[in-house]
Amino acid sequence: MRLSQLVLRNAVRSPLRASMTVLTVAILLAAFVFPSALLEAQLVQVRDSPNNRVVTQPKLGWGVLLPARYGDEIRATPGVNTAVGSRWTGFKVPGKDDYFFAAFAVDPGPMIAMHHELVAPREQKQAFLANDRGALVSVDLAQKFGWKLGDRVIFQSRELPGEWAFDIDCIYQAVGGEWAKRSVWVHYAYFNLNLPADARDQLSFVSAEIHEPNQGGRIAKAIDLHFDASPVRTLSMEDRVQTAALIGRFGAVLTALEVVSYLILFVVLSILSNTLSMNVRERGREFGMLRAIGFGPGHLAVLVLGESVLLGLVGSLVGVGLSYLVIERVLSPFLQEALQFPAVEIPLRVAFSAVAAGAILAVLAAGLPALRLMRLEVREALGQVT
Amino acid sequence: MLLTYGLRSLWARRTTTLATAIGISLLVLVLAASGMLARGMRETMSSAGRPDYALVLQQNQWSEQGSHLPQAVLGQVASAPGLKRDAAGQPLLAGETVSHLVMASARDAERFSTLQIRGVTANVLSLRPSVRLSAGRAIAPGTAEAIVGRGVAGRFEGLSLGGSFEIAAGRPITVVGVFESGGSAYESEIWADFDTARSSLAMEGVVSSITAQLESEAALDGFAELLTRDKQTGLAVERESGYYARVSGGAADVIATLGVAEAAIFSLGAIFGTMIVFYGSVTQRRHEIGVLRALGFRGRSILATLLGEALALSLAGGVFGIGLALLTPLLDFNMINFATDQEVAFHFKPDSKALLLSLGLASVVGLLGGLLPALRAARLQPVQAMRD
Repeated sequence: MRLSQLVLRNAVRSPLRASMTVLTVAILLAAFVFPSALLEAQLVQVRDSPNNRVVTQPKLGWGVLLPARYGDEIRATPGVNTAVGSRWTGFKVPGKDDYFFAAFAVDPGPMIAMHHELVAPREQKQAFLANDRGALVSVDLAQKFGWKLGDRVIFQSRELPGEWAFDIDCIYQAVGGEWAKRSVWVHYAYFNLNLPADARDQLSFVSAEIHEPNQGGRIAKAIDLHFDASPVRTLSMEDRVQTAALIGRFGAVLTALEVVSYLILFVVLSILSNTLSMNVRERGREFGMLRAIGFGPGHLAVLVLGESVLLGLVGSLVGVGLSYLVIERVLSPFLQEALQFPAVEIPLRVAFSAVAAGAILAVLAAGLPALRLMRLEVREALGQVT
Repeated sequence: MLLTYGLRSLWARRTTTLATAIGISLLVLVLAASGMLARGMRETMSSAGRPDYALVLQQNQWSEQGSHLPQAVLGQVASAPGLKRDAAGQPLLAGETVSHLVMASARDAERFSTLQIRGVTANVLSLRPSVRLSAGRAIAPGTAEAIVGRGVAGRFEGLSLGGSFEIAAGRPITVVGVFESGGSAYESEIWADFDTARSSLAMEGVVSSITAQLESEAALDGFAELLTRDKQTGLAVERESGYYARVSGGAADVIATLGVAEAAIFSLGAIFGTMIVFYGSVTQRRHEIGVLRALGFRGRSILATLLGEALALSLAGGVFGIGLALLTPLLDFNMINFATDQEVAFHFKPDSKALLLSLGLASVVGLLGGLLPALRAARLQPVQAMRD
């Protein structure tokens, strides 16, 4: 009988214990995957942010607005290719008061030129450009509300009075950017016209595309310096820095979840150790006999290690499978609907690290029992009563 | 007698007992700590507001940040009934300007947070008796000075004693003091001189909110009635404590929900972990159990003993977990309050309800985990058990 066969048979000697160990490890690693997936989903946004964009917002936070002329002045800044000023608002469909989506009123030409990540057929984009009541909507929103191309829709704003009628001219897919998955773009001119006089001609922020990606920091400072003496001061930063800041809002919660993940790993370790030490202790005599017939201490250690790694790996593989099922199929849609979370996907990287964690923890768990076993006195072991 | 037998059995297998107990203590830690944090969050937000104070805002505005009232409203409010007056007949009230300011972290220049800045008048410390200066001095009215809350002092560029920051270009504001207020939301604010703040924020002639002390909690109705009777005035009046309860937002609920979700996962793990351990224990002790049965102990007693062991194990772990949870008040927890979009420093507050609940959960987990193994032990036939 080969060593590997021995390992396998030993592991399932008590099918109840083995299966319960595997199940527990699986559940705990699935729980471990969840916050890692959440974290990773956020970090990906930062990595995917284009590095040739600078965003200018009011220095006094989102409650203040920039004068419309800032868009033109930023466009004239040296190093800037083009700039788009956006007026942001939360739109809702009349009658559905609990579901808001982000809307950006922009100058459509530069916006289409800049935002390559909004993928749609050329004719649709042209239609949007040509129609000042046109709306560019995400495919997720279109599906949710059942909008088709050419539909006329009415939107109301959460913060501003009045209603706007738009034609759905373009439905886009957002490539690499969670933020754009549930958004709508409309023409600034039409939107602005329907605002009360004191709310007109203002911008929420300006996005500028720059020539050279590594000049972002310098250009951001130049923009802020330009508006230093103006009544509304600005704070500009590279797009990727701003995305990181937005994610940082949740910083403490994500850190807490990370801490909990490590606690989960610790519990997995203790479960594996427990099972393993029980297995080893009960088979003292057998190990003695194996030594007596010529197996070296190293062989015994390998037996124990192999058993542990087997349990750990099977547990983690089941756990990852479980997490794909539960997290992606059940939890994610629920969170999207109930709390308007972005979709949670489990990146391959996270799945690998969960499996690796299972294997590493298994090795650690086997450490002490294996060492003890190697120092075992044969005579002592043979005399053991289980 | 079987009780001591049970406890000694646990002790005899102390490594596995300890490992399982620690697993249960982590379960208790997660549930108790999240409950304590949720409580701390609610307290931080609500302790900023008092029930005998009124807050006047612009009608239909969600928070102080978006509200703009003309200066003249102060006179209107000062003549409303129900205000507490001092010896000279003067009411205790103040109009303040409130805004947000995006500031860079002191440790990482690329990390920004949105903080709340409040333009305060000379009487702010008497208006808010829960606030005390912990370092430096109060603002000299009319000068470009500010005091900062304990929760933000030192964490952002310029916000330390002696440092300075700018709202408007070329007009630095010096930080002359640090204040604390028992962990309330005020500790995450910057309080600048009223005139300086107003002109820097370009809010001349305007205040964001008016805070006034009432004669008593009951006086609110009369006070509000006069000011909101005429819809044209565009005012909204709230009890200050009610306002802060309203803007506490869902942050505390999110934390509490996350805590419960994680605790549910840990519970499953703990139940199975306990089960594994006790099945192992029963297998190892089957001779002993067989002997006990042969001596005349009923199956019931065996069951009770094993369940008692499981309970003792889980309670031990639970108590340790509570000990760990009681250490969390030493931590700081900074997060965005989703409702007002400002960063606030939250704390863990001991909450007996959360602690008792966690301990109860630990017991339930222990009992559930030990149940099946205990049943098996109880059903062992004496002769069979002693034979193997």
